[in-house]
Amino acid sequence: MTDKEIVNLVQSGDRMAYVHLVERHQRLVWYMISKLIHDKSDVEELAQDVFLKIFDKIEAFKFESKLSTWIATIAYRTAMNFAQKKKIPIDEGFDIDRLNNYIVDYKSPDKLTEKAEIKALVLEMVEQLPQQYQLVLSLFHLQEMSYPEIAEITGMPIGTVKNYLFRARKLLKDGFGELLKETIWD
Amino acid sequence: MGLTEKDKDIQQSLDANRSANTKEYESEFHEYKQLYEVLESEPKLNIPDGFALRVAQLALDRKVKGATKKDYWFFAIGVAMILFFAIGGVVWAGVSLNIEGFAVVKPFLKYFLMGIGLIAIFQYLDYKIWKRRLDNL
Repeated sequence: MTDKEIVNLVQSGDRMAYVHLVERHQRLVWYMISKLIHDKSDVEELAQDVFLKIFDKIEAFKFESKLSTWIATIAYRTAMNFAQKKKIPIDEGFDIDRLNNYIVDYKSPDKLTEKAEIKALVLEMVEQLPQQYQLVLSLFHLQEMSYPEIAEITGMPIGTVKNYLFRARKLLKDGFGELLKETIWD
Repeated sequence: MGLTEKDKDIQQSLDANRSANTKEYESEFHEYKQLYEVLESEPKLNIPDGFALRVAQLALDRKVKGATKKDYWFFAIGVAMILFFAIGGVVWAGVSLNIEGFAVVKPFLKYFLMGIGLIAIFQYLDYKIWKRRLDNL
């Protein structure tokens, strides 16, 4: 079923279509919120709020943007408003030295021989990046969103989105470039 | 090391699914390509089972509650308007109101009361049927 068909069904009051919509987009919402808010119970509550807002607003949704972009925008704003209200810092205290130390600590060759280990380590390092970097990385690589779509969701200029993406990948590549080069991937 | 033009070029090529432009870029292009592969691996999210069903139930409960609240507001506004016009009418007609006037209405009082009762019953049934329809959505 296409997004358009699901939205039309939800708009006409089909309960199961709404369940289907939530199931289809819950990973996107969950991932976006958890990149900005770390408390697990808050993440669940906010994800719930996001889908309730979607339910309330779906009547007015006219496909001027993709459904996933619209949902991600609501998720982003909900998480940012919550962070602001609860004074949760976003991207404060990012320390490039801490990130470099993190890489050095794990660079013992006996540890990093398996592809899975390297993969896990790179993903662990992603978690050390500033939250907004993580967010744009996940929107681009996991949700396959374009630069303009990410800009629309986050309200950042396209230049900033690109800059965050390029810098984040550069940091990761510099940290693990040699290991990535030597690893034989499927 | 900072972000160089070379890094930007390679990343832009990969973002657009293009291959390495020159031999010079090949090694770093390969590193970036491996990195992209890692970044595309799906993370574990621990979404609780039945999350979608629970949210759907919550959304419907809220909808019914919201509709009921709205209904009460309309009812209250309706009653207020009836009272306003009734009192307004009495005040406006107060000058010519006399006992004989009431005497004319008195034999029909039970019909008036029956009429009001019937309207109330219809309103109640209508609300019950409408609520059941919403619950079955």
